[in-house]
Amino acid sequence: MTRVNDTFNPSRVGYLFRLEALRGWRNILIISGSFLAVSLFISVIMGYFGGTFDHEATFSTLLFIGGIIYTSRVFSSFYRREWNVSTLMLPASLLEKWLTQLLLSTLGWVVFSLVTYLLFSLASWGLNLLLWQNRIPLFLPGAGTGELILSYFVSQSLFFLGSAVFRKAAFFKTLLSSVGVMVALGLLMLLFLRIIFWEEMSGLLQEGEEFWISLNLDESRLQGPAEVWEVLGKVFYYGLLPLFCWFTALVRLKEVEVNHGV
Amino acid sequence: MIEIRDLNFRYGRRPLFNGLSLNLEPGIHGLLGKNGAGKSSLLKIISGLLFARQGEIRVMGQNPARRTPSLLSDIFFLPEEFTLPAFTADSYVSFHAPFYPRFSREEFDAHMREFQLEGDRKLSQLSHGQKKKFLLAFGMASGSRILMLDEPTNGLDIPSKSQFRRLISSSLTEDRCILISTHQVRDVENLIDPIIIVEDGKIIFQHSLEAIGRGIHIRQYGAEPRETETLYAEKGLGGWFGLAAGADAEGSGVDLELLFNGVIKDAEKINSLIAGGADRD
Repeated sequence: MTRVNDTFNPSRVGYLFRLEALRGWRNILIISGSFLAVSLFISVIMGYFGGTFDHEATFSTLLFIGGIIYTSRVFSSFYRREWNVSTLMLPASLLEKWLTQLLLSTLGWVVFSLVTYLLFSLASWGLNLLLWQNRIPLFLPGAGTGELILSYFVSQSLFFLGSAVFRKAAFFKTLLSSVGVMVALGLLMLLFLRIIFWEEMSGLLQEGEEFWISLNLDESRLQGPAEVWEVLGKVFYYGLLPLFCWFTALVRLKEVEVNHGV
Repeated sequence: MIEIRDLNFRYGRRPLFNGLSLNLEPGIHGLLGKNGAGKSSLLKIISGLLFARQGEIRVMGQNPARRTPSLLSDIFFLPEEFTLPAFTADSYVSFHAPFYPRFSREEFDAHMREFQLEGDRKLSQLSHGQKKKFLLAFGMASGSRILMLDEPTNGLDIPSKSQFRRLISSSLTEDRCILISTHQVRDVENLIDPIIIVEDGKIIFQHSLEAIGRGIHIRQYGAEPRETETLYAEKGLGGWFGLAAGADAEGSGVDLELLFNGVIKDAEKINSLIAGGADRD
């Protein structure tokens, strides 16, 4: 008798990929198709007036907004009463279910966005040329796109975790929580500065050049540490933060299985 | 195939099972109980969808709470309420069947024909009864050795109930355990054996039809029988019908509704009569 690997089996991940793609493709196509149809209309109007088209902004909108809305829903079937039996009883490990959703909402979504946007860009270019003889630029992914994709992974990881944590309205709850956490961190930072520079600061919010002059900072001495901090910041932002969110989502799903089940 | 020992389970502060033990071997087991007795919860615990804080559960030698793919592919659970995706039946099968290594497409097609269902129809457009028949056809063809069906005949029309009985009895193999939880005892009469009754957090009755027939029988009375004459009696069409001690010499079979009500009234007495019947043999 063949021994079944109960933790990870690439074939099962493949089957899950197919299944999830079939479940989600209609909604994804409707949402992204509507967005790109509106964008195409705008590009044609812009072309008529001889203007150009901001591909970077439009692509970012598709990548980020579409991606985080999609990501916010990836674990909804774990919570919805009518779906969770079929989701939990599907013969695949939790790791495989988690990994499938992670790959689909990161690499899958990026590839889908790039391909559809390239097609859109080509259609927009052709249409403008045909209608108004206006050559609007084509979308050419470059280094900027790479950075955009990295930033998308960071945002995606927050909403991925949100989808695992919140039973309902994961998108809005994650958005509100993220804003809440950022405000709280900002206030903590201000408080920290106030404590360190208690002699120089007269209130929590300090404005004006006098304050900075009063700190008597030697910029040349700060140059080295600033670079180190930047690298550390990038490692944390692009590396540790997404990894933490993705892994915490897995832990949270394990808890969902155990505590809520159905 | 399924072993449960000293299971304790509670919903918040409300206890549901208190020291429940159960052992199931291949066969078509009927799980009966009053509303809220915990039939569906028991099925979910066996499937690993609910987790007991105390007690031991082994399904095919594994702990279902671990929810391993090998065990999940051996359990098919048809819940009372479910939703099916907007796939056609054929797409559903091609996308779900690979998760069940012993799935038989031929068997599935035969069940679909039996239920008069078409593979190219969208599942979301089917009636609840048709959806249930589709899932039954899938579950039977899945090759899973444990099938748990929660109120499987709810929503089925009269011909479908007969088809359901035929399908279940034909799908029983020597290594398959089918557990049917139901209120509709008439729908599963002559199908389920043994009968399990859950009450007050425990299994109060678990006997095969053969054992039941050796210990008690159904008797018809001209008038309302006295307490000493019957274990339990109900007025029906054509007189009073009751459970009486002694073997079922005429082989008239078991009226599940009567048996259930009798067991709920005095399980201890009925159990001792059945045990006595077995001892006499």
